[in-house]
Amino acid sequence: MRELLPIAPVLAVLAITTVVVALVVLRPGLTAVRGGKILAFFGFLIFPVVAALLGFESHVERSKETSFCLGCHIMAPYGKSLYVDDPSYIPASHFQNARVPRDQACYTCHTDYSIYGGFRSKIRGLHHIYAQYLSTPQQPVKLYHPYNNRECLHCHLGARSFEQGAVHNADPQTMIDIKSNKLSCVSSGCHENVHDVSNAGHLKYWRPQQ
Amino acid sequence: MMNSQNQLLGKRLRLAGGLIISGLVVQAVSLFWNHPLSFIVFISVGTLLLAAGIVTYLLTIVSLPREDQQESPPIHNMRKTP
Repeated sequence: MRELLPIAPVLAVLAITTVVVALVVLRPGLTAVRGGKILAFFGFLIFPVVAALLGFESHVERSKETSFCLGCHIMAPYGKSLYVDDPSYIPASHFQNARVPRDQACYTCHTDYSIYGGFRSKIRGLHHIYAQYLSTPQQPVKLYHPYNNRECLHCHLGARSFEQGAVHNADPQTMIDIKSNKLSCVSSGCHENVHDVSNAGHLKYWRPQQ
Repeated sequence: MMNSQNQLLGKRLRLAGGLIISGLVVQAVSLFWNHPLSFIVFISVGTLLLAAGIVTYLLTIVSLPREDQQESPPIHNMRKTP
C-alpha cells in the first residue's frame, strides 16, 4: 500500500480521464451542448496531458531509486558492494551509515551537481538502456569522466570532519587542490576503496537486521 | 446531412477515445512495473497512443462545420435587394 502512495495522484488523474473519455465516447450526443463540449475538451486534451506529465514526473523520480539502477543485471555487483563490511569502502560506509538516502544511494553520488546535472544524468540513463538492450555494455562498467570532487563536496564542503581533517590540512595546498578538483578524493592513498567489484569474492559482507 | 455528420463525429470520438484510453492504460501499467524498460514503454507506447488520440480529437473538432454555418442560410440570401 505504501508503494502506491507516490503514484496515487497519477492514478487518480488517469482514472478521472478514463471515466470522462469513456462517458463522451459512449454518449457522443453530450458534445451537442456547450457543457458537453467543455467536458470533452478537458477529457480529450487537458486531463490526458496532465496525466502524461504527472506520469513522466513519477517515472523520473523512480529512476533515482537504488532498485531502479540495480534493475539491470550488470549493476548487481555494484549493489552488492554497498554491503561490504569494511568502513574504508566509501560507497559501503555511506550506504550502511545512512550518509546517503539508501533508496537513492546510486543517484546521490553519481548525479552531476551542476546546473543541468539532473538532466544530463537522465540522458546518460537513456544511453545505459540503449547499451543494455540494444548494444553490448562494456565490461567492466566505467565512468564517463573521472569522478569529480564536486559530487563529494556537495555534502562534505563546510563539514567539520572535512574542513578540519588532519590529512586535508597537512599542507595548505592540499585543501586548495581538493576544492579545485586537482587532487581527487578517490585518488590513491586517500579514499581509494570504492566499489572494487573485481575483489567482490574475497570481501566480507554486512547483513542488515530485518 | 446532420445525421451523417453526427455519425462521423461519434466515430472519430470513439477512435480518439480508444487511443487515449489505450495510452492511459499503458501508462498506468508502466507505473506498476519497476524496471528501467518501463520508462521506455511509458514514452514510446503510452505517450504515442495518447498523442495520437489527442491529435485525432483536435482534427475532429477543427474539421466540424460551425453551428452558425449549419443552421443559418448563406449571408448573401439575407441581404435585402434594393
